[in-house]
Amino acid sequence: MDSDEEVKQLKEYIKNLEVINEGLRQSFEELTTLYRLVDIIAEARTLERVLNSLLDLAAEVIPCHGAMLFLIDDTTGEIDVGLKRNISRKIENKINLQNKKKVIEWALKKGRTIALPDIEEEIDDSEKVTFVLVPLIAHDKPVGLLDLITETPEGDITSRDLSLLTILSKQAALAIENVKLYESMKKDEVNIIKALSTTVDAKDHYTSGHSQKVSEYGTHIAEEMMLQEREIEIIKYAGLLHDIGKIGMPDEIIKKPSKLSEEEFLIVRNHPVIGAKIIKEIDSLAAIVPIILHHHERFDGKGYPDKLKGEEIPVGARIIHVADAFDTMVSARAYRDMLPAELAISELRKNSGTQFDPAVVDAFIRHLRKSAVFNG
Amino acid sequence: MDDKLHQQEEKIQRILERIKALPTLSVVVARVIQVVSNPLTSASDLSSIIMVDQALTAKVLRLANSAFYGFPFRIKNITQAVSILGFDTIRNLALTVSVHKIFTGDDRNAFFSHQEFWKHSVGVALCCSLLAKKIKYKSHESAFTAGLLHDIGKTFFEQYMHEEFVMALKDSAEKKIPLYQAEMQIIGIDHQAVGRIMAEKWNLPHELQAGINFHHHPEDEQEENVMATIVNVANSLCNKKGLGNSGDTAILPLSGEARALLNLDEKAEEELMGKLDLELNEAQAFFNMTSF
Repeated sequence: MDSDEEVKQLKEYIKNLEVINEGLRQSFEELTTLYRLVDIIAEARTLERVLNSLLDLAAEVIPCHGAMLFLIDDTTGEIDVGLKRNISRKIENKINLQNKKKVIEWALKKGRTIALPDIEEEIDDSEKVTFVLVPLIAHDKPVGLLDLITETPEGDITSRDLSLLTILSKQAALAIENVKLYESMKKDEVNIIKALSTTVDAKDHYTSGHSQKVSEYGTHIAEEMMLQEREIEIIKYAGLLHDIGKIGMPDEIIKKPSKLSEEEFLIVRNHPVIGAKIIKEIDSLAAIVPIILHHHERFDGKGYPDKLKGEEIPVGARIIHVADAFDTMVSARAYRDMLPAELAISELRKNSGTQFDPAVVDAFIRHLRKSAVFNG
Repeated sequence: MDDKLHQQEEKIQRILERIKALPTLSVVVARVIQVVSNPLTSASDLSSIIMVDQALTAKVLRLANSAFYGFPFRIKNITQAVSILGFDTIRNLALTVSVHKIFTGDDRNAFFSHQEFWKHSVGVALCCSLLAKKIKYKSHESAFTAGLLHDIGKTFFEQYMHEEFVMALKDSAEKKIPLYQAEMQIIGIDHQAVGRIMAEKWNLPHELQAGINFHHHPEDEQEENVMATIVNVANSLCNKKGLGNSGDTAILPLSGEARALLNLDEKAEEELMGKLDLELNEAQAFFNMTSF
C-alpha cells in the first residue's frame, strides 16, 4: 500500500472518530440532563416547582420562552390550565382554549408529543411561534399536558427533540402524581384532625366550636409573635386537639352546671395527660403532643400536670393556654354566663405574668385591637 | 432422488434470482426509511424528501387526515403531518402507499382475491399495532408495518409463479394443511422466506424482516421473538375472525407460549377484538386505497 493511500485511510479514520465523538458528547449531554431532572423532580413538593424545573430542562432541548401546564381534574376528568409561565398577552390572545382542548385530548389519547404551528396566517414569520404539546402520563393515566411555546419553527424540531421531551414528561408526570398524592394526604390529615376536634366539641354543647376558636386565636397569636410557619401550623392543629383528652370523661362531669367537687376536678385535670397519650400514637402529629400535655401549665409554675414555669413551658402551650382561657371567658359555660370581650381582656391583663405569659397576652391584645370586631 | 434434490435447488436458485430482479422500492421511500432512523432528522428534512413525489405526498396527506388518525383539525402539509403524527407514522404511511401497488392486480383465480388479501393485511396490521400497544412493545408503528407486509411473499408467488401457487392454494384447501406447508411441498420455498428476501432487498429494518420471516414459527426467532409472536397472533386472530382472506384457510390455534408472551387470556382476547372492530371502522381509508 503506498503512502498516499495510507494517508487517505487515516484521514477517513479520523473523520469517523470525530463523528463518533460528537455522537458520544451529545448522548452524554442528554444523560446529564436526564439525571438532573430525576433529582430535581424527586425533590419537588409543589406543582410550581415541578413546572419550573421541567421548563428549565425542556428549554435545554428546545429554546422555549413560555409554557402552560394543563391539568386533568381527577373527579370530573376536565382539562384546565393549571399554571402559566411567561405567557404574554399577545400569546394569550393567540390561544383558542376550545380548539386547544380538542388537540390536547387527541394528544393525550395517542400519548404523542406534537409540534403545532401558529394558526394565524396573516402575521409575518418573525412573529410566529410553535406550540409543542407534551402529554404527561403516569402509570398509563393522563395527568396533564405541558404546552411549550417556542420560536423554533415546527419543521426544525427533530425526532430526538421529541423523544427527549417525552422522557422528561414521564418523570414530570410521576412528580405531578406525587405532588397530588402529597397534597391529598395533607388534606386527609387536616380533615381527620377536624373530625377529631368536632368529636371533642360535641361532648359539650356549651363548648360547641370551642376547639375551632382556640385554634384560630392561637394561630393569630403565633402570627403576631412572628413564629415560623411550621410552628404556626403546629399551634393551629394543637388548638383543634387540645381537649381531646376529655373524650373519655363522663358526661355528667363535663356538662355539670355547678362547680366541680375536688374529686371531679382531679379527673378533669387529667385530660392533658390523656390527650397527649392519644395523640402520641399518631407519628405525624408528634410535634403537638407537648402543647397538649402542657396547655394548663401556668406561667408562675402553679399549673398542671408538671408545674412547669415560664420558658420551661413550650411556647405553643403558653399560647394555647391564653387562647383557651379567653374563649372560655367570652363563651357561656355550663356554670356561668359569658363575659363581654373587654372584661375578658382585662382579666388576661390582670393575670399576665402570673397565670399567663406577658408576651403572649400582649401579642393577643395587639391582635384583638387590630381586628375589626374589637376595635372599640 | 439426488437428481430431484438437485432440480429443487436449481429451482429455488431461479426464484431467488427473480426476486432480486424485482423492481426496488421507490427511491423516495428508500430515502424516507433511511432518514427516519437518524434521530437528528427534522420534520422539514423528512417532508422535503416526500414532497419530491407528488402522488405520494397527496396520498400520505389524505391518509394523515383520515378518521383513522382522528386529528381534530385539518393537516395542511407534510411538515405538519410529520410534526403531528410523528416520524414513524409518516415512514409507515409512505411505505404503505408504495407497497400498495404490489397488492393490487386483477384476480386471476377463484382462490386468491387481491381485495380480500389487502383487507386481511390491513386487519393484521391493525391487530399487530393493538397487541404492540398492549404489551408496550418498543414501536407499535413497526408492528403495524410488519403486519401489513407479513404475507408480501404471496404477492410474488401470485405474480411470478402463478400456476404452482394456485396448486398450493388448492392443496392447502383440500388437505386442510397450512398454506406454507403446501408451498414448501409444491414450490420448495414458502411465502415467509420469499417475503423476507423482498424485505431485505428493500432495506427494511431488521425487526420487520424477522416479523415477516417467522410469522408462522415465532419460536424459531430469538432476537425479534416478540415481533414475530405479535404478527403470528394477529394473523391467527384475523383468520379466526374471517377478516379478509389471504388464501390460507387453515385456522391454527394460538400456542400457550404466544398467549403467555403477549399476556393474552380469553378475556384480553375479547377486549382486543372489540377494539379491533372500532379501529376497522376508522381504517376505511386504508381499505379503500384502491379508489385513490
